[in-house]
Amino acid sequence: MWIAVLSLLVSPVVAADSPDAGILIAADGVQLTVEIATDTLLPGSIVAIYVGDLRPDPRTGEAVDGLRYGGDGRIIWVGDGLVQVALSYPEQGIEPGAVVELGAPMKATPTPAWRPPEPEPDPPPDDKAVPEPEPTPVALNEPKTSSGAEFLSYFNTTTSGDVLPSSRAAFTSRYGDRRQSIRAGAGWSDDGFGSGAGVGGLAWRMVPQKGPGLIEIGLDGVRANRWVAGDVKLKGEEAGLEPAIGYWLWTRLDTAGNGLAGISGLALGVDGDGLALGFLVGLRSGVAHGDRIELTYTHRGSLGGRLAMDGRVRLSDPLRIGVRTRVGDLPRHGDGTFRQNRADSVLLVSADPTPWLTFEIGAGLGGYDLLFDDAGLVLDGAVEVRW
Amino acid sequence: MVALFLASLALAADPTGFSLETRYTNSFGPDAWGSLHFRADAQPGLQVGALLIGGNRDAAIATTRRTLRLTDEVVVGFELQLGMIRTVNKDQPGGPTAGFATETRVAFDPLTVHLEGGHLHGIGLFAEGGVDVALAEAWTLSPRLRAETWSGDRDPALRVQMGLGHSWRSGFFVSAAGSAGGRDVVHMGPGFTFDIGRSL
Repeated sequence: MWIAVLSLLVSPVVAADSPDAGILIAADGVQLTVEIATDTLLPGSIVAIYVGDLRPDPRTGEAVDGLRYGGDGRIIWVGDGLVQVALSYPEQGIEPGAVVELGAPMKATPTPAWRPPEPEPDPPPDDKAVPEPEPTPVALNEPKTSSGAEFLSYFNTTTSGDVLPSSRAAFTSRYGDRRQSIRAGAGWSDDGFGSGAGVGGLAWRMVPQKGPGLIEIGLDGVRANRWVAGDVKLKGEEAGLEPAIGYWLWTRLDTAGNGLAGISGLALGVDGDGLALGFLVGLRSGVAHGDRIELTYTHRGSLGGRLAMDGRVRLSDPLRIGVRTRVGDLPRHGDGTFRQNRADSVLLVSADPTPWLTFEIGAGLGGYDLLFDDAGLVLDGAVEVRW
Repeated sequence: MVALFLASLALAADPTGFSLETRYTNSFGPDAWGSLHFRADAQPGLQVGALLIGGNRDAAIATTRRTLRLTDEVVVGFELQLGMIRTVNKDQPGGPTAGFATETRVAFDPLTVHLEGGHLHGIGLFAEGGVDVALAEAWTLSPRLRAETWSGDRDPALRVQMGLGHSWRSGFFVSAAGSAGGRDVVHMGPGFTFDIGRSL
């Protein structure tokens, strides 16, 4: 065990108003003040050393005077006006010049000394105060300095001049550090006459701290049942119900922009034609989980493609409403020569009751024409659990 | 769906900018149509809306619009329109429709040059130009010249319009305009627009 030795030079002083004898101690030529009964200063005695110290006031933070327990020590020698104490712990922070007080031994670990925080370095000089250098003439054939960031800055600023928060900051302020989630969704798009398409899916989502704004991997199952040209008379026309089905493994990758972000993805699936490929491209303006408009085009093999426009308006902090409209085509039929177009539009409501849960429901109409005879109900919903 | 959308926005806890545009055009010929276009501000410069068209063509369309301030004087906007149009006959079939509109505003105090154009509701082409003249602190005079085709391959119609607008410091505004025009002096008639809203 390391032992620090503090040499104390003691000269007796009587404090008239104290029940204990006062002793004026000097160590290494520097005088220290100790208030203790003189009869306890015997060689071999263990004493506690309390050190006058500064501590921050817990309420105001200002440094105030007080006593700190500096550990125990053993008196190894007492002479005429001299006391020598061996400290039991190293680095007890007792320095010559400190005010100390001796007491009954504590046999405890010394309270560490507190040191005032280092003063903050002076702030760097104001760059604006430095005169700007003369601009260097630019040669005509020098490449332009404009970049994509400058272009995106137009989108990151609202027309009222406010700079939008980054998509990551907007996400963190709403969901904290819950960056991963599982999203389960299902829906049915009716086209009237009992035909339509149903979809169900499960996806894993992640919002990384760096890089892409969103990574998503999902699995979908699609079951469509459309009225197409066939051998059944319907309203005087040949018609028949033709099924279409597909299962898809798909990915989605968003860039992290808030004013303008890119959306892309690939899909691999199995449908009526066997192995099929799909893709997703799109743009988004605004933050993904708040006010925004999103335009995407999705193509899924022989099931066709669709253009979707999804706009959301934040009503309150956890509640958003919006409109999603999709236009697209149906699976080819009639020997692959005929393809119908359809559209649907739904009113969407999405909410975050807690940071770990998001749900979304949509209801509207869809079909082949703006007629109730050619339209059906569109319903879908999703639940996302975040951790 | 549109009614639910409007009702939801009316119950919004946070102040939301919005606009409601009403338009009617009659050329005393086959071109007679009216529209009701509601837009809600997701944020300044980002709008989500719903558009209903009735007349010789019926349509229900959802819209989104993004407006960018390029400089203090120049603002550009782009609106995408997706929806469904109703079949009239075999020559004018219905189905999914897509259209777009562009807008450019250049401010020269006290004038603001206003240019618009696009594929209107996926039905016809249109171009409109004019100026907004600041008459006083809160009053604006808006002469416009508009050319459009409607219902397919008809000849373009030309329309002259004059509007007056008023705005309040709270952001609310109202404007009304009357117009006259058509495809020729025989097939011409009146039109009007009436807009109300609140800017964020």
